[in-house]
Amino acid sequence: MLGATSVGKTSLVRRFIESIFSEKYQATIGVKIDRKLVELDGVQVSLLLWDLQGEDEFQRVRMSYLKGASGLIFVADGTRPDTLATARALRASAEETVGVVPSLLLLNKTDLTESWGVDDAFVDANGPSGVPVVRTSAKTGDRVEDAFHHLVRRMLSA
Amino acid sequence: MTDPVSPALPPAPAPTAADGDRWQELRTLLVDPERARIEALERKLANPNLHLNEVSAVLPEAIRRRSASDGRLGAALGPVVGDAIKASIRRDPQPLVDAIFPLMGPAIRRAITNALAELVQSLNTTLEDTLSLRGMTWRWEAMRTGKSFGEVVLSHSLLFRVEQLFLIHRESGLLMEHLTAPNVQSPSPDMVASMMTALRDFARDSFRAPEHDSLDSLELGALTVWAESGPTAVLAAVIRGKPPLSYREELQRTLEDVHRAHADDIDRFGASGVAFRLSAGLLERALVSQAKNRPRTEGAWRMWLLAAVVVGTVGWCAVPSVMEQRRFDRFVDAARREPGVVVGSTGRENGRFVVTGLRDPLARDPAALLKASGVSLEQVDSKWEPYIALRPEFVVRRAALLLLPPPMAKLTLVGDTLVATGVASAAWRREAERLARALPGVGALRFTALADSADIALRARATDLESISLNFPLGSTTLVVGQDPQLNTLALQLRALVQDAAGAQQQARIDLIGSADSVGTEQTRAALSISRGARVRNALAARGVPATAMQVLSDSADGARTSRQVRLSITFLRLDPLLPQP
Repeated sequence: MLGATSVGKTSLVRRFIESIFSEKYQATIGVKIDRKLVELDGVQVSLLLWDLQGEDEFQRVRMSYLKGASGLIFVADGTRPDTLATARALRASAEETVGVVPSLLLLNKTDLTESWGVDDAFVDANGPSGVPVVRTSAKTGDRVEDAFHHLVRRMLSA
Repeated sequence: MTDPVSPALPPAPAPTAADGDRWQELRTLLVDPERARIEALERKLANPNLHLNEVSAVLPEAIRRRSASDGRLGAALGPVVGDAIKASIRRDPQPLVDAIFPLMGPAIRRAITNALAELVQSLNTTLEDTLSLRGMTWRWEAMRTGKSFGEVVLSHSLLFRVEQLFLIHRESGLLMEHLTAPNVQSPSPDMVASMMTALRDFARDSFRAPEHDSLDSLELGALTVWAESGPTAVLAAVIRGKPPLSYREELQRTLEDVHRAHADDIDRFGASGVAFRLSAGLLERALVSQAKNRPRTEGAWRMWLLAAVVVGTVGWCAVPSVMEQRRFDRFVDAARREPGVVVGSTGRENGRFVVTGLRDPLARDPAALLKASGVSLEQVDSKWEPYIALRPEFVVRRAALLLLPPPMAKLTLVGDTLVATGVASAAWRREAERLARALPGVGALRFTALADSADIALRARATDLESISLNFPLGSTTLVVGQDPQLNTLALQLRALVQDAAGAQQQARIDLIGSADSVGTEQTRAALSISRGARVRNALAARGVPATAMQVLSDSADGARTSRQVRLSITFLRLDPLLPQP
């Protein structure tokens, strides 16, 4: 999971995953690893989620953590249009490290749509291009499960 | 010829009969060879035997090619083979038992040996540690530090112990295999493996170490984590205590072996995440521990004695029981094969073998089979319900017991027809024909090839009498002197023969064939032959042989030209019992 700081990466997974590690790992070594079990058409898939530390002007995502990844989840905040640009930049760097792998853009915080500053055209123009978009809310859980299913389906067919 | 399909031409004249014939001829010429080929192909397609031959010719090569190209044939055959094995076991588990017996024996022995060794060790240690002063001290330490007693014991009694092994895919950090020592808890090893990978990446990035360098040792109190990296996999060992440096070599060797044996599997895992099974024992040998040398205690021999007693007792109880079971299985097999015996159920109840089933009273006694298999009769409760087996040999034996055929007669079964051959009396035959219809398994009777013993006896006596001849002097019709006693005996025997034949519904006909040697004309010879025959007939009639049973003939055979005698030829005619007898 990749994205700018405070877009809700950790909140997105917190309600839906098993974890044995503390969230402070992200602040120290830059990654926290969680597990997510997804059952899809009767097949159980165990996802090991590398929840990477958010990218901002003070800290960079360690691209070495992406090696061997089978799928990427980019997260942006619907109320902060600049996070789309971060997602776009992260996607470019990620592609240099792992090549093209199944990816998904989660546009988070649908619970705050009244203060959203992005529409579809803006996402197309500024977000990571060619990546399917799912609008989610970590707060209400809206479509989070769907987003994981969507990615797993794409990973399995890749 | 006009073109009948061209629309540009004026309408064609109506086809005549001659045109029709030509068309037919043309069509035959054009179409027949194709039609013959199509029919041949259709015949071929409709004949499943031809498919069988063609498919069987290419099947082995097809299987070989497909299995070389991908694993789908294996995936498709897997369930079929599984079902086939299940069906085979349901039908008769013995072949499979026989096949895996050589594997199971050593495996079970090893498992028992290991379990006993562990039991002895743990009993030894527990007894020592619980009751000794040292044990009390350790308990106190456990209470004081909040560690479990086991951990404290381990930390004091072991130099080191490898508690967990992680085999990790180097690039993705995904866990390929995880082993733990007994009684070691390890929650979510897959997450731990990934986190270890992240840590190694973190360390390398942070200190700008070259790609091939990596974090290969971590220390945390009493725990040490050693990691060895290979080209595609990382082997990490979580060790309690202080491992010797030689253990790192062991880790390296193990990782090399893993790469050697499973390079392709690891690549496949990296590409698809599909798990694979490591060769048995490959990783296990790195899961080692080394105990501190403890002074031998005086109580040790007691434990060994106890272990010996346990092993002895287990062996004493188990071995005869296993042997007995195998003997009983052998008996059940033999009973299943035995004609006239149907095994219904077998099992064990209250330590005794139980077998039930059906048995034809003519079948071999199952007790004899038990004896032959070496099972003691006291061990087995058997219940055999009587039934009638309709196997041919049983039908024939049952027929023989009921009909009691005479020694010269033989009974066989052809289909459901009881066939009697050989020789038997008419009385037996009548009785047999009446009784045999009631026999189960007999649908019809065929006694036509059965000779009547009375007929055979009569014929034998007649043949004896036919060897007798009565001689005459040259040119005479008077018997050579001195043949009266012979004539008397002959008459007596012939009378008896005629009488016995009548008793057997037969009429005896005695031909008296006179002959004369070649002196004289054919006419005088014939007259002399007839006179000689008549002389003998009269003599026999005078001695009581019924004249109606005899007739006189002249011998016309060539050999007769050198003899001057009368010989006998006896034939029998079967009398119709419904006609008045002569």
